Amino acid sequence: MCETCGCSDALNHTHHDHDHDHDHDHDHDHDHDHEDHFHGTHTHDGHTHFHPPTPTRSVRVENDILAVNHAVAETNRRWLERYRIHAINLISSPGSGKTLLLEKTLKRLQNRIPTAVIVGDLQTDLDAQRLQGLGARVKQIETVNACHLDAERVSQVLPGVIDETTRLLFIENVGNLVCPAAFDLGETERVVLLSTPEGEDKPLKYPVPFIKASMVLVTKTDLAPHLTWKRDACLDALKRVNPSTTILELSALTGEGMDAWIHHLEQAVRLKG
Amino acid sequence: MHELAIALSLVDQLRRIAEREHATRITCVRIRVGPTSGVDGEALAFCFPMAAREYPSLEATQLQITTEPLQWLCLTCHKLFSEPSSEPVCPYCGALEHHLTGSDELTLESVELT
Ligand SMILES: Nc1nc2c(ncn2[C@@H]2O[C@H](COP(=O)(O)OP(=O)(O)OP(=O)(O)O)[C@@H](O)[C@H]2O)c(=O)[nH]1
Ligand SMILES: [Mg+2]
Ligand SMILES: [Zn+2]
Repeated sequence: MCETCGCSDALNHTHHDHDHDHDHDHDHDHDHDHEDHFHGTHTHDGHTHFHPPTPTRSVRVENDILAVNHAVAETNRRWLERYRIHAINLISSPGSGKTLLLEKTLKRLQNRIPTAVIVGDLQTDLDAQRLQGLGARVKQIETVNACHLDAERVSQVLPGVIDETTRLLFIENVGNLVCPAAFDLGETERVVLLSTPEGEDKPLKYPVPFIKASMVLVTKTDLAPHLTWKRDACLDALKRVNPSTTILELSALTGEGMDAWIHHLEQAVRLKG
Repeated sequence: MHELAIALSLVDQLRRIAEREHATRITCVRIRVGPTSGVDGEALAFCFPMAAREYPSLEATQLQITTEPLQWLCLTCHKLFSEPSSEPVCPYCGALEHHLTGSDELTLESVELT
């Protein structure tokens, strides 16, 4: 076995004896059969030997690995734009309160703003059931083993959940703070929930979702008096990670702080015309 | 682990490149992972062999992943610094206002093939 790359057919390939740190930059697409690629000198277990040189060549690619997801997300975004729908991707750890927030939100928007919901869940349609009967069209995506929604899955259910009257779309992502952050769904706005029991330093420990959030909702504020949760430290951590994000504090349970959230939604919908 | 989904997209792209280039094997793949991409380089390297299984052209392909750390950007002096999260001042000017920053790219940079 070849020690350099761990592969089994050491005889059939070539390594550079340097560390692929080419100082010659390939600025063209195909860099065939460069002289440097013919060194077969190879060091194993303290001895150097020579492999029959199989020519390798470098091809410069510079492709976005998530290009397919980005392309589908852009299609979703154009679609939503055409229908003048404000779409919110809701991301949080499991149990931070996404579904209860949506229940309370739908109740308040009922008969006022035509709203649709897409819910991603690993296994069940329990969250979708909780959101039935509140005036919104609700569609469940069972992701089975995927820990996140991607643009393709959303595009599959989008036509069945929105119509020309829809103004607002919520996409409740799979309960997971880390994985959904990598996947653009075509949303207008990314909202991350952080519940008070999760602790005030979470934005510093898991910065990426917060860096990418246009709004952060600090949820379950009703629980704060029962916790050692420090409000100032939490807001500081959020502002340090992302000073341009808007922070709202609310309790879906008691309704405290919900007015500002509803007001934000009304304004976002109004802006879409 | 969403890195498996990402490894599958990567494998798709690599197979297309191998075909286009009439290559029998891709021996080495270079990838840049930005710190706000939401992708963990080690997890991606872990998932890649599973995603590449069954494709002879991707047997024993070596992944070279370059990652950069997140950095703080001072809003006062606009300098970048890395800093333990417990000490909330800019080491250059002492200002308190700064935010985390870093590229969100996830780029297949180049491949080495035979
Ligand atoms: N005290 C209190 N409990 C809440 C609040 N919001 C949600 N909960 C409770 O927290 C638990 C989880 O809430 P959900 O709304 O199901 O959370 P979720 O983010 O949708 O969870 P997943 O979909 O599993 O990720 C439930 O028992 C809720 O009743 C709140 O504002 N205050
Ligand atoms: Mg839920
Ligand atoms: Zn400074």
